[in-house]
Amino acid sequence: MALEQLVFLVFALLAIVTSLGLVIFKDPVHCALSLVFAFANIAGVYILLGAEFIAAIQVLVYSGAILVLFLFVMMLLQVRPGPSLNRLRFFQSGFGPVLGVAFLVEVVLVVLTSGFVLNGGNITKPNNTQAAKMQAGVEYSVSVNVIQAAGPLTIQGKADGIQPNTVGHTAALGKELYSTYLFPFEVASIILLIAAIGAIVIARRSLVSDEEEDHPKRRGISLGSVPAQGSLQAFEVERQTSQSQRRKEAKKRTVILKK
Amino acid sequence: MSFLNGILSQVQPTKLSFTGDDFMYILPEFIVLVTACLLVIVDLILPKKSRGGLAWLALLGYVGALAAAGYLYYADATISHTTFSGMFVRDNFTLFNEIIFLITGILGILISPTYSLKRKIPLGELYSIQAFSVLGMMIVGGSGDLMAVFVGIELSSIAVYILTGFARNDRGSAEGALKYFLLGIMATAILVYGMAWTFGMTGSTNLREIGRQIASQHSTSSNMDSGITFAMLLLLVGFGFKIAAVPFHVWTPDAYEGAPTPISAFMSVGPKAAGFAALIRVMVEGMPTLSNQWTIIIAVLAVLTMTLGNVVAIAQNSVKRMLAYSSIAHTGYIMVGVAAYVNSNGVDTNVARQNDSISSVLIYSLIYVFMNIGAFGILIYLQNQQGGAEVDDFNGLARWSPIAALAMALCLFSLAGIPPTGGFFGKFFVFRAAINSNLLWLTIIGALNSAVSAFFYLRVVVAMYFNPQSEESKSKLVPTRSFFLTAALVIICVAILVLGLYPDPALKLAQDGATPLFQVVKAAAGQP
Repeated sequence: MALEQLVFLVFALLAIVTSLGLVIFKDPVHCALSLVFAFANIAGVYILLGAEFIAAIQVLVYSGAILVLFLFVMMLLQVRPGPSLNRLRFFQSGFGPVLGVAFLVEVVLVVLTSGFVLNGGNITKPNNTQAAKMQAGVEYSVSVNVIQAAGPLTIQGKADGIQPNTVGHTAALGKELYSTYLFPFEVASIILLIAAIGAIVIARRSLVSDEEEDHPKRRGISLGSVPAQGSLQAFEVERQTSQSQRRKEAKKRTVILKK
Repeated sequence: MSFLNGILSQVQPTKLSFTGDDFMYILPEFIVLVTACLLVIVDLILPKKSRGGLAWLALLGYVGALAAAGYLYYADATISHTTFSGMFVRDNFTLFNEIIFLITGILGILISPTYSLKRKIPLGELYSIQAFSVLGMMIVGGSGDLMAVFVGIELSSIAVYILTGFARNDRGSAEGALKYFLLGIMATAILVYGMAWTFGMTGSTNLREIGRQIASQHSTSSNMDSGITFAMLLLLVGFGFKIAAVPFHVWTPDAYEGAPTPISAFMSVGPKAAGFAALIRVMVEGMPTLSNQWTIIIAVLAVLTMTLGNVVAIAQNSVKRMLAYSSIAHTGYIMVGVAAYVNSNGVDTNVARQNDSISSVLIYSLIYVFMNIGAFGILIYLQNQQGGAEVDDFNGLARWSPIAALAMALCLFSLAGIPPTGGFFGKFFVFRAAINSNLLWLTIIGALNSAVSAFFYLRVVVAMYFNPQSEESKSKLVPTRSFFLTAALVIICVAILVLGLYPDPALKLAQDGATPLFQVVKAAAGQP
């Protein structure tokens, strides 16, 4: 047994165990943490497959960003431990396993059937489609670097100046992203920009000028609802209310002084 | 431009996917992008009192983009140029859609200020996010690739989700935004799934390449791959959500009613027209071989959409909600035009008939922009004056504001399709296209629906002209003037009348706009 297979077995087993933990644990924080482990192990499997870019994205986006978001939401909403596995509702306990088995059968069929090919096998043919180009880029870039020779630097196969070298997909992907896919890439960055602007506009505190008229408890982070007693939001609202009252008193005092 | 090109090629030896000329072809989009970014920045710098000037900046941007689009049209009226490795296409279809979206943007800016100031909606961000939304729609209109379609639709949709929730002190606004957002991301997921299947089946995301691949697969094997049909169904569901077609319309009434009224006006026309642009781009350019399948689905959905929209609109007492259902019904009328793409008596590729179908969709979308924003504009006027949005609040409007009542009547007559307004010609072109494609049954259902819709539109007219104003509403009356709103309503009324009495120039432009699509279809089928 090669070392690679051994490493794969370790990663795969850990991924399965931690995924089971995600379902079985009662405390949502434990579930989230075991999800981190599952993601990390799957990233390991990706590296074994030679897809180090996807592995890096897996760690950065899923383990880094999304999991932290989960934990933040749990912290803010103070999620309590859920019901144990044998006391789930019918939808979860009855429908879930059926769906799981269906997916399992699907995966087994895909693996075992040799006739399963997308696009009649065209997708890997070196014709002019984007998929074929990308496929060629990915295949060659694992052990081959793209160096500019006679023609312009493209990933179109050996004829266009690809010489043996060692650079991963990341370079090939980056080049495609900033040349062929520049337009959607830039638009995607605009989408992130408006998401940031929108989040700030909707979630920011009311401006000082409308504080005087609005009911004090309807402001703050909670989008208009009265926050629960003892929660962070309630504390924040209280702080703001007392501040604005103090400000008003100070104003009155200055008015009186002027008189 | 060649000068810039030279510098770029010296500095960067790697493959360039665009040249300096490519930037000229996206000039209108670029101007809107710069305007949108400027609006946020200037909003921070300007003192609070002079922030009214932001509306002028936004208008300047839109008018500049319109002028740039017009310049590109007059420089070369038969242009069909793909840029950014096939992502963006500059042709007359793009141009006509840009005109629709920019006019939507202009009218959306004009009807916003008074209403938003009264409700403490931050104006700078409102204008800016609206401009980003218009940018997304323009990208959809000019897309030549599934990826551009996707990012464009997402840019416009996410901007509108945010705008829906802009009235932070209003619970309805938050509720509408959340419903719209959750259902919207669901539809987006389905749309992307459909795109993934299309990519898997054809090996490309480029619409023309997809069309070529499907055509060649179709010619080599007698039975089509069912996978591509599955992809088409998923795409139709995704687009159906964006245009609010039944049964994917459930978000519409709540989102329209909850959103601030100027935003309801904007989102009832802009994203809908963008959805239709995407639908036509993907279905006509990418899947012309499957047109027998998708036109019949769209025809059935059109019947459901028209009927449900009109029947439910009758029962509404809130004018805002009534306009929401009426906008669903109008989606149905426009879908009749899309369904007319294929002759139901056997397949023919009569380009003139197909052009009638697509150009009727374009011109209906343009007319719909004016009449629907007009109706919402008067609603905003009424809400500014006395706050309510019920049918009863329109009682006696003709007495205390005869001009507003006249404008409202004009918009409602146009929505109902009564001559000599623009709405009549919109419906006329759509139904004529359907009859030419032997879809008589669809035309009859459409005409019956128009008759039903006249009932609830005229109900408001009757309230304005024949019912007396209640004492309570008289006491609530607070006269407010708004230069921008008046300007918008004047533009709208003139446009409705001009499009109703002399539609030829607009129709000519719409026919030009539909032409490039058929060149693509012909090229995909291997014809010269």
